Amino acid sequence: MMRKARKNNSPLLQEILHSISPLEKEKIRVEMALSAFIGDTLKEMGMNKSAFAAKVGKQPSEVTKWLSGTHNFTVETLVEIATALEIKFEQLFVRELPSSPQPNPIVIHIPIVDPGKVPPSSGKQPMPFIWPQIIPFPQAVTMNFA
Amino acid sequence: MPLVKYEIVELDELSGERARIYSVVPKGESEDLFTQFVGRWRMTLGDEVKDIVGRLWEIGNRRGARADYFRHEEGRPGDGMCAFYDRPGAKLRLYCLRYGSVTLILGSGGPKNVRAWQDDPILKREAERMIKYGQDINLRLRDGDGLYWSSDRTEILGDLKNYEDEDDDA
Repeated sequence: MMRKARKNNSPLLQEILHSISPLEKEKIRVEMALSAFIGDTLKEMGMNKSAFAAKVGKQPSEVTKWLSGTHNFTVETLVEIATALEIKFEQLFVRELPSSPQPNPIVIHIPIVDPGKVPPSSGKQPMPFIWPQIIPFPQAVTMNFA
Repeated sequence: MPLVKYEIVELDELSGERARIYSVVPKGESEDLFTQFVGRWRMTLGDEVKDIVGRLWEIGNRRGARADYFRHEEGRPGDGMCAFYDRPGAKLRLYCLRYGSVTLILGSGGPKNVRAWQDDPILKREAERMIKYGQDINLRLRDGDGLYWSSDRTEILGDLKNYEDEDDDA
């Protein structure tokens, strides 16, 4: 008979998990999600770490750090990465792995034309500017490790 | 007779739908290696312990054990031991065995102040201990000697405890 492993419930691990603040959890989640996204995109593009490193003008060891899930990315680095991946900066935050909860995207409508300044004679309604889909991360703030 | 006696247990707090996370309880000890590791370093390197536990939860429940999250070939070629990638400036090193992106067996580790684990007595002891368990587990999985993969190859099944209970008194 195939036996399964005994489940070890550790009060110590529970205590440590509960001591991690929502902000810390969120930082971990975003860092690991970003690194997973970059890794997946490289794979889809058929590009290895060395080729990508050359494209962004870094050492391969730097790319290894980016993919490790521990890197605290700066905006500057993310812009460099997005440019090398030939995507828009915002797209780094749009895609989530299939297993992650997929909250409804928020679509923000921002008029780019002040309605008060539209000449009445034009008869045209201002076109709304549709911001690229932004996936918020609210689920992580309320995430329960238990 | 196996060289090392142990029980493989699943860490329920960390395991999730993306990866099963196990550790090893050495014969004669009450806690698994990873819980011992957490207990030993939580007072002196508490932030690092929290970060490691948080990232392991993320792996188990959302990301899976992606190869990029680990340093490979930390031990001897072929023994399968790897180290969990540490943050820049972090000291605490954790050794483990990784089987694809769906299964991890966590060991122990310690602060790394030297370039090679062989030069630090604590790291050397923990790394060598994990290598020994890894060699035995890998051999048993390969030969089907009491340890097997589930049909979807995500779960380790069989004689997770490689010794009889009456041996406990021996």
